[in-house]
Amino acid sequence: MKKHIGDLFRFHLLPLCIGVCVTGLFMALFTLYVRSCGSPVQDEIISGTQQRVRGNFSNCVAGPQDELELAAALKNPRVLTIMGSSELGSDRYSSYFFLSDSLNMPAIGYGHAYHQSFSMYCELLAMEEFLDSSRICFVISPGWFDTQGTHTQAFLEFVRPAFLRSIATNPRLQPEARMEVARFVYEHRSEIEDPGPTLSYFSALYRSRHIPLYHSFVESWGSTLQGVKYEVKTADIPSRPEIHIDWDKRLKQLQDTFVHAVTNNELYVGNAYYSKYLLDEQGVPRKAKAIEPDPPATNRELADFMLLLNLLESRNVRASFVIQPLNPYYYHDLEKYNEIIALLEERIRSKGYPCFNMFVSDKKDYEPGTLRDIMHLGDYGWLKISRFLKTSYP
Amino acid sequence: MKNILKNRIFRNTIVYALLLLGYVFIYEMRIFKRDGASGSKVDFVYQQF
Repeated sequence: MKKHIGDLFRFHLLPLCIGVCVTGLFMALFTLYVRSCGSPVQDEIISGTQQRVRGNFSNCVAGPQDELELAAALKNPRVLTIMGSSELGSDRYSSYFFLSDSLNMPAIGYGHAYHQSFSMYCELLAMEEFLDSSRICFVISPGWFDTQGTHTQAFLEFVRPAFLRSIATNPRLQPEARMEVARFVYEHRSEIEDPGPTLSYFSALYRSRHIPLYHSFVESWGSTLQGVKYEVKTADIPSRPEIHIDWDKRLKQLQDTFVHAVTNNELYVGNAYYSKYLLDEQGVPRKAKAIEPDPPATNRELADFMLLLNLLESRNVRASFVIQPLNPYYYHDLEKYNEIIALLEERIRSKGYPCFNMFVSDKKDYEPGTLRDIMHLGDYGWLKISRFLKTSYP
Repeated sequence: MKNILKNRIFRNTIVYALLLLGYVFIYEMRIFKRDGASGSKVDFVYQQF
């Protein structure tokens, strides 16, 4: 028995301890090598010319040209980038059409449903070199704050592998910024199928945060991933004649047109949307989903939004913000958002950014036509946003 | 040299070190995987309301 214990110690425990030391030594040498010689891997160069100067696109899934278009929109000093979620569609009064076509203010919309603060934060981290003086408007939806933050599927869709590699290898980024991405990947690792080396690096980076030697090794390993460099030639956009807009008159026209077109409900919801989504199979109106945002102290989306806000401030971005409303004729407990919306507005204004808060919790404060349904902007709402943007970026 | 290689402690040390490095590079860092093939195990359902 004594001999067995002695053998176990001599032939297994002792070799295991020495093995751990050898592995640690290997990691330390690897870390020193990478720190002294730099990454042995050449950056991937993605180069091209900006082709889009108006309109919108949903994501960069189609390939490098879309990544270039996003980079170019941020880099081009004449272009306003509008980042948002499901309100970004093909409505003709959307600011990325109206400002481009009528007011000589080229604008690009980027995003679709589930494009929330953390995805935006990661996209901008990946495009960090283009952020200085970049003009970006963020269209915020109150509904984001009733979620558990950015959804894993949305994160994987919006934060492309090239973006992750850019974040992993950009030496100008603060380690804290990289660690936020690592935290997200680690916390959602069970929801990610078949992660590749970059996602695994981020997960390991967070997992190793309390083990200094291993953490340094993982950091060094990250810098050997292939970085990404966007070499984008921005479009030379010719000036177009600016159309004179009588804002009040045009707004009134749009509002009247919308209100008169609504004939099958008293919620100020477009007829087709009302029939399709707000009535059940028997034609009975559906009840609104109860609103239950987490309190500000534990609200993940609010924490993500603060990350975004701090990044914008640190990179000298010329940002502006629009807080969209929800339809108070449909939702009955919108006052539950009041605290978060007030906090959002206060934080945005404390950084000196213009903020257009369209959110109301009371029917009497709501301007019909602002939304075309229960949550998506209508022509009237978009025109008001265009006026705000024209004033914010004179 | 031959004696060292025959040494059980030495051999086990090599085995454990290789296992640890294999765990780190193959399981933790997924060096043999390709980037960009990742998907989400949970799908969102687009909700209108």
